Amino acid sequence: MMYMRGFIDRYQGSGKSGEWNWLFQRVSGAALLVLLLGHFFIEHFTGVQIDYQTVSARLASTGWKLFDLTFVVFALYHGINGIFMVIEDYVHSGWRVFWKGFFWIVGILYLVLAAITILPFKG
Amino acid sequence: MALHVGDKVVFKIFRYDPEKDKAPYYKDYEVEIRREGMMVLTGLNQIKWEQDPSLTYRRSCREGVCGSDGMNINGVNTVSCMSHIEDYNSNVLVIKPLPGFPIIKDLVCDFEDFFNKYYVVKPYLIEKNPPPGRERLQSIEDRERLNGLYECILCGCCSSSCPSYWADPDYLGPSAMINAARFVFDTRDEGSDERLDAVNNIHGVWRCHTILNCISACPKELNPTKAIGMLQKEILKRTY
Ligand code: HEM
Ligand code: SF4
Ligand code: SF4
Ligand code: FES
Repeated sequence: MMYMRGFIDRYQGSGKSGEWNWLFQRVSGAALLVLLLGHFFIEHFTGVQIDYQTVSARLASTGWKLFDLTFVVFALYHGINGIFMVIEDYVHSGWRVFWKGFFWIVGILYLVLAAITILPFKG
Repeated sequence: MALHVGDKVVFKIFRYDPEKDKAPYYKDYEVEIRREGMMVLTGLNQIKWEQDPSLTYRRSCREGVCGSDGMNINGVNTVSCMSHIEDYNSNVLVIKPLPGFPIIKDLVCDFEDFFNKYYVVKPYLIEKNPPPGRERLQSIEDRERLNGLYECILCGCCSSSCPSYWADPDYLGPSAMINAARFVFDTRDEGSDERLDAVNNIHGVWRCHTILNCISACPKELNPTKAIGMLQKEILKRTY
């Protein structure tokens, strides 16, 4: 769109139209709803004693690693993408590139941190 | 609050003449109710014609058709010719130009950007093929799908009420997009691809945060949020 696409918009990268980001904000939101309810139910309502023994045993199993990693990926995607949407709402200068880059780095750092915490855990 | 002939109401009106005034200010005018159910526009006319000819505002049809008198009355965007003074349940009406639009003078706003955004969605039927037979017929059912879309009078009340429109100067806004939907869902139109392309954009349908202000603002009781949702669905349907 000649009229709308400003200088900054041309450097948006592949998610240019915003369609994919919009859709996956909803998909990840729905996934979070399911995962969060699961998380609450398992942690607080199953009556299982929460101490180091049970928790570390759980964290060492492949199934739980998968659950936790999925949770982290969706939460990170949803949170960071949500911040991207807020940036698109309010930042219309070159600062947009800075802020988006900043939150890309924050997202990747947290993802790496989560992966090296969850994956090698042996109990 | 029932108002009767002879009652008095105060109009507190936003005044600003950039050639004379350093800053905008509010001026109080007394308006006399001269008939039951008197409209705000009639009150403005009374002020302009009898008290202060310098008061500036747009109006034309005085019956909710031309869309020229969009303004903010006691915090709500509407067209003054469709607003009964007594419906505000107050002795004082605070009248301001449409929020988020550049002000030219008093209640008159600059609509250039608003209309440029309207033109972006190509608000006219696009023909690619000659009509089958003598004319382009449309079934009654297909015509009915345009109800709630075609009635827009371009008053700007919706876009001016939208926080996304305030925040993003490039956001097309609810008005342009309900008009996009009016043509996309018209069975006679053959330009929906280019129209959807125009709104499939971070400044188009994906910038709407379903805040719903546009619905409460629309004096024609249209639902731009729903129209934007229809466009989003149509784009997703065609992509996936
Ligand atoms: C119960 C699960 C959740 C659901 C169903 C959900 C749903 C949504 C939806 C639909 C949006 C888009 C709103 C819009 O476009 O206007 C959104 C935005 C957002 N979400 Fe979530 N969300 C959930 C949990 C979370 C969590 C845990 C976080 C924090 C990490 C979060 C952070 C955000 C942010 C920052 C935005 C952008 C703000 C905005 O656009 O208004 N959400 N969420
Ligand atoms: S629903 Fe969308 S278009 Fe309407 S006021 Fe909210 S953000 Fe704006
Ligand atoms: S949708 Fe309603 S509020 Fe918006 S411009 Fe059209 S008539 Fe006015
Ligand atoms: S004067 Fe025409 S819509 Fe109000």
